[in-house]
Amino acid sequence: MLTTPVIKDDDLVFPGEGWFLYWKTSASLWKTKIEELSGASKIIIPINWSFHSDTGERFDFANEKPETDLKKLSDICQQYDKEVIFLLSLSPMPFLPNGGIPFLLARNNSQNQNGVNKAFADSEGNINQIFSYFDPRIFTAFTRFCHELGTYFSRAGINAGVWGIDCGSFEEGHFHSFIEDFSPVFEKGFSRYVQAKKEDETFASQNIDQEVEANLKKDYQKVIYDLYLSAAEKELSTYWQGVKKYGFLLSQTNDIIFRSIDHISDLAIMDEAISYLSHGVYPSSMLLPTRRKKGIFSSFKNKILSRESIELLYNDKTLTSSFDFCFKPSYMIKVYHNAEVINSLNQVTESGFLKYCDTNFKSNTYFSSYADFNWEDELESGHEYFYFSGKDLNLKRMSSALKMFMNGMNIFIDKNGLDESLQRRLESFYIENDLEIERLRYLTQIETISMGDGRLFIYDSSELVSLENASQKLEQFWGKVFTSLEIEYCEIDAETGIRYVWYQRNVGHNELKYERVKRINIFNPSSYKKKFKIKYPSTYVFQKIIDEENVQLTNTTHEIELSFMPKGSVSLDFGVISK
Amino acid sequence: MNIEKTLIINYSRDQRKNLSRYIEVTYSIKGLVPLEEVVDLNSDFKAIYDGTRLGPFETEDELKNFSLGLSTKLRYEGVCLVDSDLLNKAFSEVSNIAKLNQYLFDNGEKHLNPEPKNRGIFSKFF
Repeated sequence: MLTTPVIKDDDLVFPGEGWFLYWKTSASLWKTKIEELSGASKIIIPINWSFHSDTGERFDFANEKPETDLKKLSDICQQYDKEVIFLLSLSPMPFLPNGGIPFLLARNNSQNQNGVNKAFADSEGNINQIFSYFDPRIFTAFTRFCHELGTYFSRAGINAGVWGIDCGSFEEGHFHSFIEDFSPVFEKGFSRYVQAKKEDETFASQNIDQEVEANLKKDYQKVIYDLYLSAAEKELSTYWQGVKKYGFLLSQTNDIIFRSIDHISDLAIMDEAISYLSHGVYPSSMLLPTRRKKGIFSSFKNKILSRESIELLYNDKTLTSSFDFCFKPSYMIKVYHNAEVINSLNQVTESGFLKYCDTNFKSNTYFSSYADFNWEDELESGHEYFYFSGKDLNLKRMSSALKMFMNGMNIFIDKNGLDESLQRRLESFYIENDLEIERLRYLTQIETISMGDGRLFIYDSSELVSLENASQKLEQFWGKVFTSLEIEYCEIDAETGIRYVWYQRNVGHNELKYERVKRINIFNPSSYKKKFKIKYPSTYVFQKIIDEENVQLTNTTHEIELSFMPKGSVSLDFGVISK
Repeated sequence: MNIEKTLIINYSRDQRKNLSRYIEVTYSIKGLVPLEEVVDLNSDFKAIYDGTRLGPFETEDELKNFSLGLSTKLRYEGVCLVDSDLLNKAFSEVSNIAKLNQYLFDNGEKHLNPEPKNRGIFSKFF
């Protein structure tokens, strides 16, 4: 007999990903609940602005409601050896009424480009609307709240850091912060921004077409977001740790309608989570209905959004720790793009590179913004190939890419859109380093240079795009390029609907015969039986199969076949020997 | 009209394109009718499908006639047109998604499919 699922108190208080919603339970129960939380060493506490200030002008930090006592909460966590991480959102939070702002400030709805108010359904189906952060009253109140919060932390002697979070969703191939807004309030501020820009003569003479306007709107949004960020940084200076991006599953434009007719699938949720991960955004399952967190999604969550992943997210990268030997998401290819402009991935998409990678190395491409680009970080990152579009490169970025090549990394550079002075710089780089260049022509001009383990592959996509039967020729082009690179990778033949994610970890002293250990987590979220075949190269040694659920394995030399029952999942570990 | 036999069509007006109307979602309380399937039903619709929505429809009548044609083809009794203003109002007035579609159905612009034309020899006598 079907029954309505009972929502456990713990699901509301601990909705997932280590978050603890302190306002959802009585302060007298905090101790018991935290004591019962075994395994987690970090407790993530999102600060609920509206819970501490209903008007935006009066504040309650342990004055009236006992549940506003963040000092007590922090002390309880520390008593049980849990590290406390406070989160302060720099954009609306979709799981809170009014996006988490004090109700008196909830006046101007945030809207999408079609004039539809932004609204989300929380895990219980309650509809939460969000409001425009371009409303100056919200900014003023936010600054004041940060000030009061900073004063309270310091006065109460709270010994825990505060991270800023940018909440958003994944739409049309990109992460969009929930601060994004196209309401009349935004448009009013934007027209003032454009007017101010027009005082600059070079800008005034520019023709503002639709793309320029869209980019200007993005610029303006960033200006305002940075104001919120600076206010939080300034007021919480000694506590401030940095910013993390969170992508909320089931928060896309029409998801509220889909939720209303129960048109949601495990596959769609997994795809969304995988997209977030491949863009460096941590997925949050906060909006998922409780029953959706069970079954195959639970296996997915335990592996992909595990406690280790939370530890890694908030682990200072400059410190070595026991987490060096944890599995981390692994991507063979990393594509750098300028996330601050619209359609930033158009050029690399048109070149056919992404389609080829998606077909042949699915779930193996990571997208990163130049804002996070530091070439030295890449030395240990585990990515094997790096792609740069010429139009996004400046001298600093190109020099960094060339340094990566000199350090034995494989670099692709698309010269399409590359500034002339940078082209000259590239030529002088060849001469200065006495590099032997192999120049050839196949559908476009190609230059390849090898040095040690590194390979530099430079081509011009503009010619490729204009070819007849471009799609087919691009496939052939990239096929030949990757064959020439002699890459060692696993050939995967998966039936439609199977999803997989690669992880890897460093090796311990007892497994030094390997360079690293790679793990593939495979899921069949569908309701059908599915087959999955993986043919692995000679540099991979199959180690073990773990967490088998509804799956059978057949192993032959360098090939594994998996027969999944509906909702099956499994992980396979391979030791990788250096070439 | 019965909500179970009604095709609900959410549409918005694009402020960048002279306020033309675009269909965002087509569904009934029994499930979604993906726009890709709508396009598959009639290849003529391809011309008005931009990958995420169907349109533009310059007038209310154009949208209404298109929607009724669709609902007839999909064997619904009629359509309930929901514009973005109504959707915005629903988000303010309805507290839970469980009540969302009933609100949209109660307040949306409902149209029954046109009576099928009788083509038989005796049609004029009945």
